[in-house]
Amino acid sequence: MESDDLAGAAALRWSDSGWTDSSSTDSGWPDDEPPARRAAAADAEAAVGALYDDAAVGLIRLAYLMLGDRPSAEDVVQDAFFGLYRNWAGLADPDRALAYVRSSVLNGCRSALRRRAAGRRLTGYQPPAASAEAAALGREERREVMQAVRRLPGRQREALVLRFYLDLPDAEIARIMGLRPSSVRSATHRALKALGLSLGEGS
Amino acid sequence: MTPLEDKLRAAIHATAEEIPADPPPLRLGSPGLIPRRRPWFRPAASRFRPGRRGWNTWLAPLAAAVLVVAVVLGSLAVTRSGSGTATPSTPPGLAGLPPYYVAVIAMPADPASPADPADPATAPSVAQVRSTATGAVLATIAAPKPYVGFTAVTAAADDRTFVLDAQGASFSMDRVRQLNSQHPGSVEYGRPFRLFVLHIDPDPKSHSSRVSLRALPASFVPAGQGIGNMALSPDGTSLAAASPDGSEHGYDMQLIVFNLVTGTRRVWGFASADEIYMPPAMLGGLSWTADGQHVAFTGPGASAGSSVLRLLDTSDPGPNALAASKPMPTPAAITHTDEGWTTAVITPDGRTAVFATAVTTRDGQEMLVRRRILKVSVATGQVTAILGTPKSLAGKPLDFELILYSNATGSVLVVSYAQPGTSAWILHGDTYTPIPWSPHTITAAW
Repeated sequence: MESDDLAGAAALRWSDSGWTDSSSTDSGWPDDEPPARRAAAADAEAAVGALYDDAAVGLIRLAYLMLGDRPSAEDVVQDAFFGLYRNWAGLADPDRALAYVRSSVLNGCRSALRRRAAGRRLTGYQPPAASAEAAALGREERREVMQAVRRLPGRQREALVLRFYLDLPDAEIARIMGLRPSSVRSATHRALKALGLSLGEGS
Repeated sequence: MTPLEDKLRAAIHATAEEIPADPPPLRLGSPGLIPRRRPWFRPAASRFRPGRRGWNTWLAPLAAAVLVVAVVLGSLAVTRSGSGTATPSTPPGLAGLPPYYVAVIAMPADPASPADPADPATAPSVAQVRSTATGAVLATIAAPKPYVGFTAVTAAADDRTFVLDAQGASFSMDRVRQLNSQHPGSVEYGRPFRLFVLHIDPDPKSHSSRVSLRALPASFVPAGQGIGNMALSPDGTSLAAASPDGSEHGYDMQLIVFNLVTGTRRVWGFASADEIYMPPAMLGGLSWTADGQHVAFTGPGASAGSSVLRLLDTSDPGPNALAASKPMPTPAAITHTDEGWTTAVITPDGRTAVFATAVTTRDGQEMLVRRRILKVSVATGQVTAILGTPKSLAGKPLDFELILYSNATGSVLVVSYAQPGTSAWILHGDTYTPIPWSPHTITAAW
């Protein structure tokens, strides 16, 4: 993430009435908030807002691939960005914010999947109707592939999505998932093998 | 890149593009670095000021330690069953159900503080003891700190003993890395979990009951792991649970039976030469037979990705859940058609497997889902009943995918849907009757 991006978005602030310009006379902060805290919070808000503008769509799509439904994906991403905002002051390296929030999104997806499992839910992947633009792969074939992806163990599914959707290298995937690169390679290899078996193809 | 990888990449990108490029606005909540706590997390006689994080953080470990002994969240709101003073009368349509159920209720968003103060990644929830007949809330129990909500509940046959699964706030990434370095692959959920026993105890003096909440040992759910599904034995002494096995290569699940009296546990794995994986969504449908010896669960079938209902004999000494269990018959009505089953349980008498099924068809751009209940004889594999035409709903579509309760023979069932906002119905014969229900119910147990 470029620091210029953060500076360029610093003028935006979310309030109950929506996005406003920071030049507004109404700061939106309680009067008794210490100035230093107010400044720090404003910095965090601007930085997180800018990152959201840049990365939200990709992260919602990432969560959608993991969860299979849009509202849950949007919720997970909102939660992840709020967590980033809350922990901004403790972030050791702000340039790693995107990696941090990607990890949070994956954690949120795991929690969402877990809540579904806790409800004794046993469902297959049910992708929504395909858009006309996304017809390069036949609808049924795509559904079959995504169902097979959905049946993979969570770690393998995450490794595949991070590699084949975000095109991340193994080292970055390892950092996001909190694993060693060798574990990522192992998970990817096993996932492709299982996918090949599931789809009746050699991997 | 192999053809499989090409196909996978195309499928993933095409699916991702179903999400439009206009995300909803980011909401960071009310201004302030430390958001306010919601009222339902605040102790009734708290001497700690809301928003003073230092006190709460310092107290959390101490509170957790105390909980191991006993936590009693007193409530005298539950009327003793059978006292004759205020026992809720059960409408005819709800006959056959125990008088109380425990529901996990998602707390509605606070307009003044839309972002959750405790942990935005965790939907806060409480447990409520409710009257089956009226839906009235008889007691509300918040998750003890440091936990922020409950995610699952299961009940014994006495209608007095329940087990709740509580979860806490997310670990920091540093904590995740620390746990992973100590035990590679151990962290799946990235947050702490704890099991609690909720008990309703009659108080003869006051002709009422009190609700107690007791923490089970923290070692039951290792740090970073969790419980995906669980089922309490009819006598309330054993808890069957699905949990990640912490293996290096993935999130394979294991089946654990905890002895709640002795604190011991037995573990069954799913290792096989065919590398059959056990993702969390596949290990479900946990249910006990009345003898307290057999646990049914949904597990791998003969082909990759397929599921069957299996019956595990917990007295079998083997460590492998597949070897120690036998598959229950899956009706041809499901296996040979497009109709799939969303969950299945065995009835306590062990004679019937009950499948909740769904078949999806497309009518133009509209997806139509038809739900049914199939009852299958364990002995013969024959379908003994198909329940799919709700008589009491005047032909309105009935959406359900969960079986929350079965009486001994399966003649009385409770079905519901997985998402909050929907309802639950008692299925008595072929008649569906709605149960008084909160739209914020996550799950419930009788």
